[in-house]
Amino acid sequence: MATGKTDGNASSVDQNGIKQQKIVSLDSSVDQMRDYTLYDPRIQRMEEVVEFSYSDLDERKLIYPEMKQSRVVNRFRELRTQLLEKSSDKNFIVMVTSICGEGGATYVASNLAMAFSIDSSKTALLIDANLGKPDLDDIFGLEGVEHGLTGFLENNQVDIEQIIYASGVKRLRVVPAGHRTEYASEYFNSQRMKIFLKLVRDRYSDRFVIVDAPPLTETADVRQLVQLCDMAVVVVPYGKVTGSQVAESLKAIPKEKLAGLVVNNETILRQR
Amino acid sequence: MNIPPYEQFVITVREAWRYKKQLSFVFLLTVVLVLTAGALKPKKYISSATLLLETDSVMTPLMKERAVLASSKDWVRDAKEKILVREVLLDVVNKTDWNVEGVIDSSNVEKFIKQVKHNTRVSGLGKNSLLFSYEDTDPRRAFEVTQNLVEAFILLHQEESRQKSREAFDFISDQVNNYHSKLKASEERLRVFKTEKFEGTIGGVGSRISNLEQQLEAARIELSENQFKRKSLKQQLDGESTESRVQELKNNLKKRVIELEKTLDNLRLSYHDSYPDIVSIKVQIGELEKQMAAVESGVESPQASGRSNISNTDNILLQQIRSEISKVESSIEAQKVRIRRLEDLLAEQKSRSERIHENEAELSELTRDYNVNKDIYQDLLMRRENARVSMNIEIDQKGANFKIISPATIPQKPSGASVMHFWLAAPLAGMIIPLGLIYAMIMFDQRIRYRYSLSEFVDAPVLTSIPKVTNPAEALTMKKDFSVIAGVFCLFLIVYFGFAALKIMEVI
Repeated sequence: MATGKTDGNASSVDQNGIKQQKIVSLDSSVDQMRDYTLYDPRIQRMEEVVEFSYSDLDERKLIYPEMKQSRVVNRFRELRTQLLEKSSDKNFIVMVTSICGEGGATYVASNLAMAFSIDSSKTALLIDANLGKPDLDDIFGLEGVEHGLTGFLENNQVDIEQIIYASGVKRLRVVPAGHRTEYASEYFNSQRMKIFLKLVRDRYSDRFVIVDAPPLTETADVRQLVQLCDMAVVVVPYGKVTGSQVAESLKAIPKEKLAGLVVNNETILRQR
Repeated sequence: MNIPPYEQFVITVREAWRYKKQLSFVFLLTVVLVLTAGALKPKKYISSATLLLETDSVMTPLMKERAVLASSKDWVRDAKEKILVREVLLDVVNKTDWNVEGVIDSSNVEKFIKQVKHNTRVSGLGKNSLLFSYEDTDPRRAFEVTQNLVEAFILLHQEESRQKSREAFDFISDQVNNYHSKLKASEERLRVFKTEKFEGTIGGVGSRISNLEQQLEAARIELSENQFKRKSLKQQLDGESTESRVQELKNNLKKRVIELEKTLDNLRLSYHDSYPDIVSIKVQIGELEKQMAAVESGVESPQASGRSNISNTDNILLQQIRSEISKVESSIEAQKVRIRRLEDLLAEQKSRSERIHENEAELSELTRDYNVNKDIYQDLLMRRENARVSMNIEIDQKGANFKIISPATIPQKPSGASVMHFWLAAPLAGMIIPLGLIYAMIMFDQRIRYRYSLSEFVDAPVLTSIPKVTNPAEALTMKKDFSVIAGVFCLFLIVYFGFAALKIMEVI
């Protein structure tokens, strides 16, 4: 499957931990990133990617228009439309988080990205920000890639295009989390992260950025992450959390950023 | 949370699937518990007997309106009141073989009485039927007690009917006697009154009074006539003797004087005054004038002188008048006497009339009293005869009686839930109880299972809800799980019911 390709001079910075990380010059890194905007080597890379078959998608619980459970597709399309309405059709960064762990944030985030990619006039970038427990590499077969988000944030030498991977789905790119870390808030606080998100959004006006964030009740990292995003969608899993828990968790998200809730895994047998 | 029933059902099924292991355990536990309960439950035997009240006997139409047969009432309550009393229960307990060692002592008796009272049921089967049933752990005892209770009830019922109709008859009979003496007394009073105080009728007295009044009126008129007659006769008598006769005398004297003066005038024409005839006439005239003067001045002289010429005619008339007067006076006296007599009679009749009126009121009261007593007495007499017939009917047991239409039998099978029931109920309860538990869990669990319940806690909009999605691998696992569970369950049921059937058929 797609693998990252090292470009530019390799970094000699020690990558054992964030503590040792040195962001040498913000300006130079921004310049590097600017350079990235000048060319687009991904197209070359895309061609190497084998597209997911329907059974691959089914296996990964990813939606596609022809799938049997058509109402699932419809639900995600509906969600996409609602978010577009909120942003007045401008592209945006949406953070998807859930109330608790195993809440289905990754599932909702990846399918929301799928919903954007289904539309041929839009592209989606799915960023795995669940640094403690990344799942996207598994779904999109990105285990063992050279650089992920953490790698990018730690190492100025890593370019943006080095961490954006083809997904096996047309018009959908994925940024894997990279190596695991428990200190996500340090990363999210970094200037590099801020600029990264801004750049990936502003580069293409038809690109929608979806950030798979850690669950609300498990970490306070989301508080910082949400500041960098345009809006947030909170996933409420079926039968796992109480109403008051939901209300309490939502306090972490500023009201103006909260787009709304998505109930996942709900028992719905008939079409509503 | 206000979840629509359909959603509730679906959620319940989903949760049941989620907790399938725990539920299977609860299922097995319930089955075992129910079966254990069934095995440990003491066996109860119910013996029952049905009684029918025979109201449509031959007697009913015959005796219609003649005899009063016991009317329909709340027989169930009546029966309970009759048999569930200590005396009857004691009797029943003593008649029953309780299968205890030794003698039945007082403590046992109390216990058995309580047991019989507690386990006896009386219920109505329609309008005129009663169902007696008794429940016991021993079938023979159940039968004996039921039979004894029914017998006791029938005897009590007959006894009561008889007693009641006897009481009714006695009461009416008493009343008849009472009214008979009252009637006799009022009859006697009436008789005494009629004989002692009879004054004639109001009509008789009235005609008598009017007759007397007429007579009195006539007598009074006659009296006043006679009085008037007497007065006028007396006036006549007085007028004749005085003025009229003086006038007449004077007139006579004047006439003779005028005649003599005529003759004198004639003689003077031819003769001198010395002529004897003239002288004689003159003397005569003088005489006559003297007489006239005498008459005018008084009565003495003319009476003395005039009696001779008037008494002849007047005397006869006076005589007549006087006799007439005396006749009238005597009749007046007679009439006065008669009037007084008549007045006395009238007063007497009037006082009698008053008395008659007083008596009349008393008489009508006595008569009324008599009539009332007579009516009641006659009515009571008729009733007494009816009561006598009713009593005879009851004595001959031809009235409303209870007939045993289905006698008590020794129950062959224990009542209530049988072994089969328990075997059937166990898996049913095993399925219902876990589902109930799941349902209760959903009801009381605060966790969000329904998108609309979110709005109670947060004001953020719910953008959408995503149904549960399974990938092929999961679906396969689920299918496998389901087949395994369904297979195991079916196998369990087959083995279970096979075993149950053998158990019920008492093969095992």
